[in-house]
Amino acid sequence: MSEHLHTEVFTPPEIEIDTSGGATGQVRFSHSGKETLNSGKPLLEQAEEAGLKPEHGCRMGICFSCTKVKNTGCVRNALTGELSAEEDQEIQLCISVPVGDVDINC
Amino acid sequence: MTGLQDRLTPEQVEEFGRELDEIRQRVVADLGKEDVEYINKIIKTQRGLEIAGRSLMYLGFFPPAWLAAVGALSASKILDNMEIGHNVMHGQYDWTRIPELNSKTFEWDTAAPGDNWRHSHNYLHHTHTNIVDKDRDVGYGILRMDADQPWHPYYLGNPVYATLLAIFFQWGVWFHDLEVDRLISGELKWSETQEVRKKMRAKAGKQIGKDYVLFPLLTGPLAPLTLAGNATANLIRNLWSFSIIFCGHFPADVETFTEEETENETRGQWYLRQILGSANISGGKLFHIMSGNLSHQIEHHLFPDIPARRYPEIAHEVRAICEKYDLPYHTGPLSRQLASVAVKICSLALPPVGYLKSLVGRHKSGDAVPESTTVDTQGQRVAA
Repeated sequence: MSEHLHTEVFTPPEIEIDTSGGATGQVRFSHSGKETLNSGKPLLEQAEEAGLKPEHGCRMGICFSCTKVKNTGCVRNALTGELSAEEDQEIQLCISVPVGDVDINC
Repeated sequence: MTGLQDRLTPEQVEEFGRELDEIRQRVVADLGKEDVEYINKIIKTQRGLEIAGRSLMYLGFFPPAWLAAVGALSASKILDNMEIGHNVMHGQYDWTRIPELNSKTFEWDTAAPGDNWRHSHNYLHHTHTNIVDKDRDVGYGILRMDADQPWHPYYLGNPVYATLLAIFFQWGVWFHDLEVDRLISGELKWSETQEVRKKMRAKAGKQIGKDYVLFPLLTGPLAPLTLAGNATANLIRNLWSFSIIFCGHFPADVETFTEEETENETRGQWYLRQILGSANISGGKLFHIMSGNLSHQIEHHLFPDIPARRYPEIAHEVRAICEKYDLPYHTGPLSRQLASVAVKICSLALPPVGYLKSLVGRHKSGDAVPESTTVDTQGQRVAA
């Protein structure tokens, strides 16, 4: 089972949105064919700013309505700080912030 | 009653939120093999009970066998509905990547379609918990469960509607996502409910076909007995789940909130509302499992996406945090909580004193009594 579980533990940081200019890379929503420069905001907001309307709910990471597959790239969980670079990984758009290039099936 | 945000200072509420976040991080980091083994064990038990129940129906002509069949099937449906269904569909096991435990695809053995329920429960109920006019679980669109819901003569039937809902709870939940109250008020258009209705029809057909046609027919001449047995098992599950669920937010002292006081909530404030708006039920280990750990409604509302089996182990910590910040921690045995809910249902059926006084006042004051006075569905007076 452990090979399926990737965990990294950080001390809980403040929820931070990385819009200070530290954000790099391209965000690609491959299903819709949209692409945008990574603004450092959570993926749900970046999708909406790109004109998409992904299904969503609580916008705070508890309801799983916005779960989509991240094809490639690294995201940071805005609540825990946890980084995850796995391919074909289900993520919650509302609390996932791209770190570098990401490709989302959305 | 002080306002929601008067309970703690802004600094306190953020510290309070951080303490709860720490519990969350710790539990999430600890999730692993044990949780997977646990849920698999529960699922195996549920399947075993269902097979036993449906098999015993073949001996249904022998009353003790029929009773045992109904007992086993009821237990199977309760486990499927609560410890398995509700929790898996919350996403509590999505981290395992096991397809059978994926919240988006899991379907439970009850009439409500998973997709519809996920929307109204995971998103609407858990985000807007106990906010009157936003959380439709406050009254479910058919009951008056809070004094802030304006009274209307319709609510004189509160105890009757509650009883009917309990008996037919499976269908009440199925119906809930049609949002009939919003259709009646015009907020929602019938055409907008097409997808929801399609799913409702499909799932209802499947459940009726399964419990009331296929399995009875499979027992040949015993079909009527099997049908009665399956209906009884559904009834038992309905009554049990209704009772547990109604104890989650309706016992006296559990608070509801207005839209204004919950605007722009921080995470700490959201946690605070979840605690003030939820109630636990005390009991033993088996009780907790059979209630799907909704006996730990407070912990569930703080951490809805963490496996429910973890709630008992963090309950004392959560309670200690509540005590530290001088916050209530609502809990009690099932009988007392249920009695409290029953009292609420009956007392809210009656018009509030203010309403009666205003009726009397109009006639006494010498003002012209309006030719006709009607009350809209929200209990507000409108001129004819």
